[in-house]
Amino acid sequence: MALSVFSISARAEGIKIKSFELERVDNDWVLNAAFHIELSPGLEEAVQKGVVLYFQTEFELTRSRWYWFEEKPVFEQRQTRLSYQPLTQQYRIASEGFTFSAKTMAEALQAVGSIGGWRVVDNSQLDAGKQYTSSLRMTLDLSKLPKPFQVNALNNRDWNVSSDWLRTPFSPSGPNLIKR
Amino acid sequence: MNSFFTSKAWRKRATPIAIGAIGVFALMLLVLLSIASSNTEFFDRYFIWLYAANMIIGVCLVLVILALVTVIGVRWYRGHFGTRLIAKLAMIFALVGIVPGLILYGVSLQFVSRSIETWFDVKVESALNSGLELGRVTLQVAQEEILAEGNFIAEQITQVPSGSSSEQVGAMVMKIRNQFGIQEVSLFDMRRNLIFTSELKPNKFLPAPSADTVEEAFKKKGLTFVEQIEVQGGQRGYRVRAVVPIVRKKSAQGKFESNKDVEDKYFLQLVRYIPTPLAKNIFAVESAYSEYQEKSLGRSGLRKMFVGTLTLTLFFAVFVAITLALLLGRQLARPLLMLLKGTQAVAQGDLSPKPELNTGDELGMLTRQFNVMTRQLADTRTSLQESKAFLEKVLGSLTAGVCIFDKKYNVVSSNAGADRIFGQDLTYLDGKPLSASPALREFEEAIKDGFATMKLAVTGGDKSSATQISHQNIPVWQKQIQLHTTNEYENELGVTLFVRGTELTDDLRMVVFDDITDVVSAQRSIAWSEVARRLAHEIKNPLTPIQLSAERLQHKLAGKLSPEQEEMINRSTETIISQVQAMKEMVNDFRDFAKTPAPQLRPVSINSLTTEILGLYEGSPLRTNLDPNCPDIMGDPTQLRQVIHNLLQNAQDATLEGLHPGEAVEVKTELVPYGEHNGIEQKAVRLTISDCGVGFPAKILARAFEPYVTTKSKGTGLGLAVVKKIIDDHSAKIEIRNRMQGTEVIGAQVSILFMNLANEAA
Repeated sequence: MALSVFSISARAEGIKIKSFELERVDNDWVLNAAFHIELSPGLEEAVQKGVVLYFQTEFELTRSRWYWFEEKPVFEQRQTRLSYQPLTQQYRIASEGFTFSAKTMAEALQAVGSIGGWRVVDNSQLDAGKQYTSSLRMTLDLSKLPKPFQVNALNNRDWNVSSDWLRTPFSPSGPNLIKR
Repeated sequence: MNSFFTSKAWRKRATPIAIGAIGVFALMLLVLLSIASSNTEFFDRYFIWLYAANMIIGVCLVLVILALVTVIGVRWYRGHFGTRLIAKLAMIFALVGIVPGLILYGVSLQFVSRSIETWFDVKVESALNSGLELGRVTLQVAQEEILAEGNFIAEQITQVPSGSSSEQVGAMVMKIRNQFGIQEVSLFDMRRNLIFTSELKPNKFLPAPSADTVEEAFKKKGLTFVEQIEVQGGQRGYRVRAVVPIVRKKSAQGKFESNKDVEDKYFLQLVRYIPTPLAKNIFAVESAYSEYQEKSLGRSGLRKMFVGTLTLTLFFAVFVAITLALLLGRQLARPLLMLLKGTQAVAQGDLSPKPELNTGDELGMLTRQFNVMTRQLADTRTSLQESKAFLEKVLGSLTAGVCIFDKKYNVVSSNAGADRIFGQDLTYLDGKPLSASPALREFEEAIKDGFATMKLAVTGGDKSSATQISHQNIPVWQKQIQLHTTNEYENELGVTLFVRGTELTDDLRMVVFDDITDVVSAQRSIAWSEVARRLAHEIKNPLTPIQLSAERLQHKLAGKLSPEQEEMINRSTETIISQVQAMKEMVNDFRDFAKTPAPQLRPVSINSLTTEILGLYEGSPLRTNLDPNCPDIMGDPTQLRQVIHNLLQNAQDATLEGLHPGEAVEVKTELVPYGEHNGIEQKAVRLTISDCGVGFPAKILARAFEPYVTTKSKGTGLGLAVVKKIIDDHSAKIEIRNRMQGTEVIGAQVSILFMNLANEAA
């Protein structure tokens, strides 16, 4: 019973990866991705009350080694800041120096969830002949929350918003476009 | 359980280490948490982990506290030695630690909850709301104003006759702009190309809005929005923008006749900056509002945080209190428990030294003093035991009998001497009166009598009686008593006792007595010797003159008297002479008895001596039973011959006088064991002579060896006295008794025990 309730709520809220695209441009790989973000009512209320949410997007390339820990040649992360301005009743999204306003929460979350033109991999760093695994996820960065909310988040599942890792095989010398 | 964990030493060491580690860890985390409120980057990053770790530690502390309490509870239940004291001390210490902690906790908790709530006030909230609304309205008004002004300008532009140059339009717009005080007015065509702008500096104008916005503006006949901008100095400002569509109807020109009404579409963009002070205030209101809302939303978390920290502090305080309480309790209780164990051991008689506590405080001193006390106790006990053993030995080896009685003449204690004198073990009489043994009834009566007389004398004042002497003011009575003289135990010899009695305390009476039978008889025999010697001397002297006188009378008167007279004189003289002769003999006997010479001791075979004497009695019925194993004894043959001779004579006489005159007299020698000395069995030679006469009457039996005591119709009664004297001089023992067959006396028996054997003396 409790499990089913939990699974339903988990389906309704959280972060899901809608699309994933890794494209080779010249010598770099550019990431385009879209996340579907659904916040719990509590979190939405918190945003509207002025709590600033930081969404962290992490991308990494790993290669497993049988004799040691995984090699991790690439680890990139970027933060997107979501805030609400009560005066103009607008949401502001700021990421990598770029700001955007949205009138509704849905718009704002869509803006947060869309990532485009992120240069994540420099091909020269990689060994062309090896096979890698690319991983991507987006989480709500709880450590950036005000401390009282962190205490709340400690025992509240609604506040632990995170997507699963999306793992795809990656080969530097493979096809120029990887899509999911 | 694992054997590793059952190892006691390991457990003993591990528990304090584990508790200490948890304590230090908890303290560290608590300190970290308390300084985490200062906003450093480190704590910002790890605050959540710190908080979670503290919570876990809190749970651990609670578990440890519960475990400690459970351990004590279990030990209490099992009655583990010393647990009660430790538990009590721990409880007291814990109370001392916990109660103030709880009070502080309660007050702080109340204070925190209240003060957090007081931050959030309806009035403050409504004021902030109103402020925000004020800002909103201000912006709204600015929007409406700029839209109205835009519409006015648009109207003006549509009314500009066609064909007028853009400079003309520009001049007009500038004029209106200056009039309204709009910062920037720009005119764009539908391709969002600039036609005209009021901005004088090139390329400084605000670019056209997006196509979507323009389309929306055309639909809604004008669109306004507020934008947040950054002004110089990093401050934020607000910009109100309006997009106003302009539609100019143009008469159709020749080329496009089909279209009657051709519409020229443009749009205006008007920009006005909200004055900086106003913008600043609006922003301040907004940020305050946001902050307030955020805080208000997060207050439950804030409270949780404070409560959590406080609770954790309380747990820690309780933990420290209980741990310290246990440690201190154990520390305090240890010497007490040691003392308790010590006293229990002492109570059970173990006076060995107990472990001491080497601390400088009073408790350590107490344990040391306890040991000193125990040692002294042990010393005292040993010396007491030694003196008691000494006393017992002295009492035991006393030949005198000692008896101690209580008020009711029950025996409290008696010594070995008493046992010896009465010939029975008196220990069974402890707590009973002497009369419990029939043989001692007489003795008890004498004692009671003695004490009664003493009482009388004491209560009667200073009058001292003959039987009571006063020695150092302690009243003592003494008397001589004779037991078994007139009772039915006729064949037992009477015992003469010299008894002294005194009162030790009101409850205890002591009686000391000596068997003086031998002394008495020796005294008697000495007295008799003296009497005999004097009598002999006094009587013998006149005898010779009497005899001579009688003889002279006979001699002188011979032939001078008539035959009748002469015959009478002769008869009388004969009688005098024979009687004097008899008297002389008797007197000589007495002299001999008194002057028996000291025996010349040399080895003598009792068997050959007996055989030799028996040769004189040939013809008389005699039965001999001589033991050839008898060793030589030390004795004077002449005196011994007289002894045997006397005894045989007596036996023969008794047999002849008895009921069976033909019966034989039995002479018997044998080697008998006689006690032990230094572990070697002593031997003695016994000579027994038994007759079949009438035996001795009880009165005679007791004093048979005294002179003038005899059963014979004639005789001096000196025979046995002489025998006794000789036997005494030989350090031998003589015993005389009646031979019994049932209750009938069938004769007498005399036994002599020679203990002085020749081989021993040599």
